[in-house]
Amino acid sequence: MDCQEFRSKLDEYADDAADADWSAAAEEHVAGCAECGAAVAGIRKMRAALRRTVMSERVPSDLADRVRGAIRAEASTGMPIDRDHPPATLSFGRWVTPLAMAAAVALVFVGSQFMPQGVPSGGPQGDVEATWVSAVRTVHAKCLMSGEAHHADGLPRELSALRGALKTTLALDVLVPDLSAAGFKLHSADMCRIQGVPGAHLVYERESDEKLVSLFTIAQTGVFEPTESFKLGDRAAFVCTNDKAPVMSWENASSTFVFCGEIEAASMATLGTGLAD
Amino acid sequence: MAERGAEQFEQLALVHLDSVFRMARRLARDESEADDLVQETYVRAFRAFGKFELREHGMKPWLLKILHNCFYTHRGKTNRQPTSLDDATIEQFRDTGVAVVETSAAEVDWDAIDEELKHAVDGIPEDYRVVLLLWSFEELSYKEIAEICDVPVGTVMSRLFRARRLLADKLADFAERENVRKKA
Repeated sequence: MDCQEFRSKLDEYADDAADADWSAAAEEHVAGCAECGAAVAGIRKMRAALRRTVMSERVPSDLADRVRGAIRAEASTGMPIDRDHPPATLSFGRWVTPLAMAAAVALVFVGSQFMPQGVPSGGPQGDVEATWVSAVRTVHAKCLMSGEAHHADGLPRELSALRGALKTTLALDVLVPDLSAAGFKLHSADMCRIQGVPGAHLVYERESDEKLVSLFTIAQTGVFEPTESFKLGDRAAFVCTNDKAPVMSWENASSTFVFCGEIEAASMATLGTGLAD
Repeated sequence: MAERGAEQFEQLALVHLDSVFRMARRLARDESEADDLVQETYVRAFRAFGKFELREHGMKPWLLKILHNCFYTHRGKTNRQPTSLDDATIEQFRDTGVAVVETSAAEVDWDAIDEELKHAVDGIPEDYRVVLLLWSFEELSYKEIAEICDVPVGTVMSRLFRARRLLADKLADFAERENVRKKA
């Protein structure tokens, strides 16, 4: 083996990734070639130096506790905990509703009564932070797929009273829209934490076909930075479908609202036209 | 199958916390972002724990793959295509401002440049940095790195080859200046 042939697989040899026969021949070459030997040593020393450098990184002493807390929070509520915002001390009771699984998963609107006004079919596409979409969808799926919805103890079921209670309880200017024009009634309401940010989660159900939609109100603005948006009344809103099902988002001065359901994006947008801050 | 619990997950996963954090720290802009990445990685891993199959090499590569995905999700690259740099010619490298020199790893005294090395690693483009770190810090095989990054083994080798040279390039001036270039 000469230097040229050896150099053709220098990296693989240095990483012990070359095949055995080739490596055996390479061993002989390296033993007699100081320059190639130095090249191999250089790569291996680079690897060792990098490892040493990374290993010198200080790991925060409380990281394990915080990660453990996030795992436990996920295990108990299905929502990650925010290290900067401890969980509220409110105790939310749960009640289980016997939603049929078929109804829970079959959430596709049919018919044309929800076709949008001035919104392209499928809805405008936005390039959004996928982590938020994923988190919203995870929470949504848990509520739907588990056949379990929950309503916080003491929260009223009448919409205007609920809004006031949530504002008092969660210190949030929470949007509690009336979707009765589309046949939806409030099904449940609870505290919501998406990626640690507090908010509220409202679930609406339409009894006639057991369709569900969720509204998440998150006490943070600037969550999404849509590249394309459309007007929803006087608000800029957008629908994204990059997670296979639509999420519609808009903001007011203090909160981000996320409307989520396994329904067509166009139907989602039309539902949104019925919302008022 | 009954869902496995948080306790079992923690037992298997938290032993790799230092590795996950250190990897995150070198990927992220700062400690706060690294912290977020680690927490998100563990929460995502916990959610998927029921589907995880413990293989002979343990849970660490799986956690690193989730970290890798979290990192790119944070950077808005979830739907990214393979970087054009993978197939780039030397000229294309120069066009993008990434200098390519043939500084050999053998010319640098790797024992004398730890801090500068950290800065140099941070300055390497993400796709290359990920591969470089997995190769060096975790000492993973090309195949394992390919699985974590979800790219072909050939791409791993290509990125690693270029990453080493980019690193050596970045350190060349420093080595010369500080007289830590290895004596011939």
